[in-house]
Amino acid sequence: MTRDDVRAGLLLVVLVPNLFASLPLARSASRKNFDTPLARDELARLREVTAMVGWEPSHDELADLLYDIANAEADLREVVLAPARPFFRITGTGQAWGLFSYPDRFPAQLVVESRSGAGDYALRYASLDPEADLGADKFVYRRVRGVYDGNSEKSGRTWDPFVSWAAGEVFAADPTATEVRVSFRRLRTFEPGEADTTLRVEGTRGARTRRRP
Amino acid sequence: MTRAWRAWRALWAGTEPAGILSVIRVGIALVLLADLFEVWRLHLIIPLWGPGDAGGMGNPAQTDPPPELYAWFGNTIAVGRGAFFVLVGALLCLAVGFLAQPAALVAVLVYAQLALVLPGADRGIDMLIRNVLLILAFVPSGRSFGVDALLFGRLDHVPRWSRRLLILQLLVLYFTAGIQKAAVAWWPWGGFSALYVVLQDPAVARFPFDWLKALYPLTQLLTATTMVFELGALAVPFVYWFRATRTRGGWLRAQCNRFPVVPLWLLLGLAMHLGIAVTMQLGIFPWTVLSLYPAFFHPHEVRRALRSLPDGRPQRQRILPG
Repeated sequence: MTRDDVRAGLLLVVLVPNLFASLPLARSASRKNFDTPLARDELARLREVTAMVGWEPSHDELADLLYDIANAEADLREVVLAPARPFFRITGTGQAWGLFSYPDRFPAQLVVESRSGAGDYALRYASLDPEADLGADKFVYRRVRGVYDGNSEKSGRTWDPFVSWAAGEVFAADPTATEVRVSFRRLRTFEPGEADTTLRVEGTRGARTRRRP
Repeated sequence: MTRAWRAWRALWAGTEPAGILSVIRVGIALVLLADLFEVWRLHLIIPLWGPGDAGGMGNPAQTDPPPELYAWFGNTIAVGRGAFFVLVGALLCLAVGFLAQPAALVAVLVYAQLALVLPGADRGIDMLIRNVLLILAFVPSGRSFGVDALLFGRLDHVPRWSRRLLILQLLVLYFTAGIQKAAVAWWPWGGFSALYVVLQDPAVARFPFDWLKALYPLTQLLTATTMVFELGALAVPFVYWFRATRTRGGWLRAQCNRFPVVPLWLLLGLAMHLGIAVTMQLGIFPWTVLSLYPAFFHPHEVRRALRSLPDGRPQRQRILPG
């Protein structure tokens, strides 16, 4: 066995799990996720496509089928990658390259408001709002956006710490503010021809308040 | 089987001039340093990687299992800050080629620990950077253009497998990004509306794009082009293979060797990433990927291209081997 053989063998050992990890297999599956507005919209469009070939399942039928497939994929992925997982964890390496796989027709806009005493809330920051740009350079920074973006559908473990941090930023910038509210505006995107407008506000979610300590 | 193994072995064997890998080493280190400078400038070290009671959004104490760095040295501000500056130091060493291999390894391990603290703040592009750093940890790139060359002696060649692995990494990135675009909006039956929809997302867009309706057909064309580009990554290995076996004949092989297919494909990628940089707020994503593009060129190709520059550069011509 030559040095070239050893090198080629080692690379094979590294590449096999990496290439498997790059396959577009579901990482986890939750039946509830098929009932979000984005998933419902996506499945409705998919049903239009399947109808072209004469297959017209209901939303639930299609969701159940896709859930079963995703579940099987996630199980397979878990089993095959189990031996490599400690290596991936300790090196932080891997292969997961979904770039806008599902363009979000129901995006969320981060909104930060504050008030003094019992007054009305004033808008301090909203994504892409030039008149409400307090702390904009921090809120648009990719790592910070990654934290709150992950909470836009459902509030997770990092939402409350994020709100506390955002409130701290407002309190530091505005000594008169006594209370800060952080939330998401739920939006809906329309393609040309679908509606007169491009974006429509459809409510808010995840609102949390913080009082000045 | 023996024949397949010989081909596999040959694919990764041999050495080549070190210039390209050194350019990539410096590029990737500088891109991540620029990003970490932004973290420091915005006072985000502790919010991102500090303990919860000091305002950390991730709180290492609550992760299961906790990152080793915090489990061993304590869940304190000093550890979060220390990890950040160790990472910066390792990247500076990598950029100047000082103890480049251990520096790359330290950078991978520390960066991975920070990723465990607050996974939401660690994006796909950070994983790509760690993948590249891990490759650099196994290649003495600092001994060609770097301080290591002065300390340990100069190496003009590096193992060829490293650059080829980087090419494979980028092709996997693009192709799997393409096949994961399962949303109908990316396909003809969804009207190629994906890019239009993405640019309306206030968390992603750099500007309000409510005026984009007038240019909807253009966004459809660009959506289709993105798919062609990403799925086209699958063809690149074949183009390289056609080039390596140009004497075998065949119409397709001849056509692929006649036109600069890979440079044209890369030009499309360059345009796509510059477009992303201008219209979206994705931070270092476009610059990181573009810093790896030199991997697609063999050092001899670069030399030939430099040689074919217009006249009036006699000095450069003289220093190039014949």
